[in-house]
Amino acid sequence: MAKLELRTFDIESVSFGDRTALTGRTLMASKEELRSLVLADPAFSAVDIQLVRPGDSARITQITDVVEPRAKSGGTGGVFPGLLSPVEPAGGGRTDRLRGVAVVTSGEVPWLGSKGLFVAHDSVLDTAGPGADLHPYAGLHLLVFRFSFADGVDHDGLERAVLLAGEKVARTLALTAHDAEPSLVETRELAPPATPLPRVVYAYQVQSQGVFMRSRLHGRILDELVPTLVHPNELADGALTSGGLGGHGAKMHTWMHQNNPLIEGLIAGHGTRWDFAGVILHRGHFYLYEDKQRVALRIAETASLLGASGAIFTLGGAGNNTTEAMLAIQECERRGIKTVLLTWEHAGPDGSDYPLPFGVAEAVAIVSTGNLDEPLDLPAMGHVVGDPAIRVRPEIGGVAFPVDGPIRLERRTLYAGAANPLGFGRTGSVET
Amino acid sequence: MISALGPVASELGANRVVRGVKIPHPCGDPSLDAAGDHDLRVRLVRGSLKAISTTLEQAAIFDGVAA
Amino acid sequence: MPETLGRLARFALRLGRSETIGSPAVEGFYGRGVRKTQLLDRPAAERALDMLSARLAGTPFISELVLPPVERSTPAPAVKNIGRARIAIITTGGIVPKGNPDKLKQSNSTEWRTYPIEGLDSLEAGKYESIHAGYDTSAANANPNYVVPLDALRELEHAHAVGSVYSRYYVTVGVGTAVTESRRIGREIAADLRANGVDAVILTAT
Repeated sequence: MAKLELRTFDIESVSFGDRTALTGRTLMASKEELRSLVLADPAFSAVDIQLVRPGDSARITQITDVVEPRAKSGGTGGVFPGLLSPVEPAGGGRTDRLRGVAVVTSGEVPWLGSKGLFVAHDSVLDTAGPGADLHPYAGLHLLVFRFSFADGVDHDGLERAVLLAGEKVARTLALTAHDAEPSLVETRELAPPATPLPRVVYAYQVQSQGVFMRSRLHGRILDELVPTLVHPNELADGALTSGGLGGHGAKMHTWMHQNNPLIEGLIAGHGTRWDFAGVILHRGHFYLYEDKQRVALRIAETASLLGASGAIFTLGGAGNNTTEAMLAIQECERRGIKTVLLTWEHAGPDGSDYPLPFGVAEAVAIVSTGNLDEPLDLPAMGHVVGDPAIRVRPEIGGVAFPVDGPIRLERRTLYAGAANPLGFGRTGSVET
Repeated sequence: MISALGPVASELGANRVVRGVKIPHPCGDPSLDAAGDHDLRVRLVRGSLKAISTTLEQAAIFDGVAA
Repeated sequence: MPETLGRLARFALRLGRSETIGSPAVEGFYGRGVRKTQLLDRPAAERALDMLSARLAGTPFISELVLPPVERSTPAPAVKNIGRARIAIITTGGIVPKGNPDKLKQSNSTEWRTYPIEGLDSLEAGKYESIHAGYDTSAANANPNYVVPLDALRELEHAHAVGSVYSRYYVTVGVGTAVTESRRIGREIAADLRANGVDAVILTAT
């Protein structure tokens, strides 16, 4: 049984200095050391490192990933298994995490002539103003790495480079905590409850359908993922990493997978509210209807086999990702498993349109994180971290959209985190 | 309508639906040889014409790939 | 009646003063089905877990989203003599002449276009491309007939299975398209089809 000792080190201040070390609640980071660390990858031609502190007014452009610093400090295996570490058991032993700081990788990832689905779609993220409520990073110190890319690197190489860079820095920062005094130590173990409680599962959908839209489990891309039961402690060690460079709306950064609030809540309620039986990881957006049905059946059969009475669902992306989840909800409900779906809406710019692309009558319990089609007006920020313009319209070769003043986003798909796919934020829909 | 997600299309109000192959290539199959792929496409279009010629009281899904 | 008028009057005054109005349930007005994104009192994850608890306990809960029913239409009458009919192809798969000369948007489409296919026996690879942002377009780019099946329809035209193929095909992009926009696009295309004597269409979706 996976038993994880999770040590949390709260960080109250971050600064640059001549070495990377943790002293009390202050993290010092050496730009030189971190620069060498990431530039060892020839995919990058240069990197600029900046710090955004909580309370700063900054607009960060073209984020490729966000990662929470974590490292193993006891037991077998390492964080980000299969990528930074060997493929070994994850989720046991002891893990250190720095809370209050996040590594942000960013840059203008070249489109290389690609026009449709498989491009790194640009986004903006504000650390102040109304946009600050739409993502979970506003209270964090953000160490932003702005990359320039070398010529001759293909899409796969670019994707791997940015994802690994974030992970390497994240681990390096967390290693500073090894001998420090933690703020909090938790033991996370899903031990059988003392009294019988209803069993619940979390059907966690990710996107993985090609480059820039790939999630990885233990380092392996999930394009062919058959729904798989995973222990939540494995996710605490970075077994699931981002697929969020491309795709509109619901990009999920690695940080979001590491800190999934539904998993946190399910673990917190284990033994009192329910018996949390595990995470059923799956991908949506299969191109064949039978494949969607297969996903639905595997989720329902797995939940059934575990004796689940309840299942909670989230989506990995927009459009026909909804179909897999809805069909799975239908199959679960038919087996007497009560479902809840957490999703955003596509109700059109004025909120009057059909909210979801597909539905089933059995989806009677839905939590909505609001309408992603709604325009978003953002005031100017104090400064821009990155280029003052982002790229839109890949289908016509790209058009520059200036973002260095007050801006109106016609839809929220350009705003990082706006879909609130895992329920971090308080967004919701109110009928008017 | 020719759609790989036939039941979805039908569910959402399309009255005459022919099941296509796959979302990125509803009217063909790149895994077949040229002749087989072409035959498949002709069958799908023929199936569509049949659907158009059929009197319906309510929505129906017509055999496409299976035909 | 006087009581209702009083409530209406007070409500009207509040609207006139641009005061913040709450939800229909709270304020007591009929909902218009218009939804606005707001920050609620608790994170969505917490609301979802509470809803799960309620479902497990069998206690009442209120879904934050109730799916509206799908509007169905009566099937159009069958075409009586398909061998004399003029057929057009419509696609939501985003197939456009290479270079996307009319700059059709790759998602959240609000427009449709037609392109000539008179005298063409098929859509030639390299002359067309898909600009749809929601699917892997490599197969469609290698053979646009996978999405606009012109080669097959032309063959059936030669075999007199249909009367004629309309000289243009219609295209829009079906990803993130609002239903209201889709309806308008559909109405406009339908009007164009009627004006050009088209009897039936084959609509391909991706």
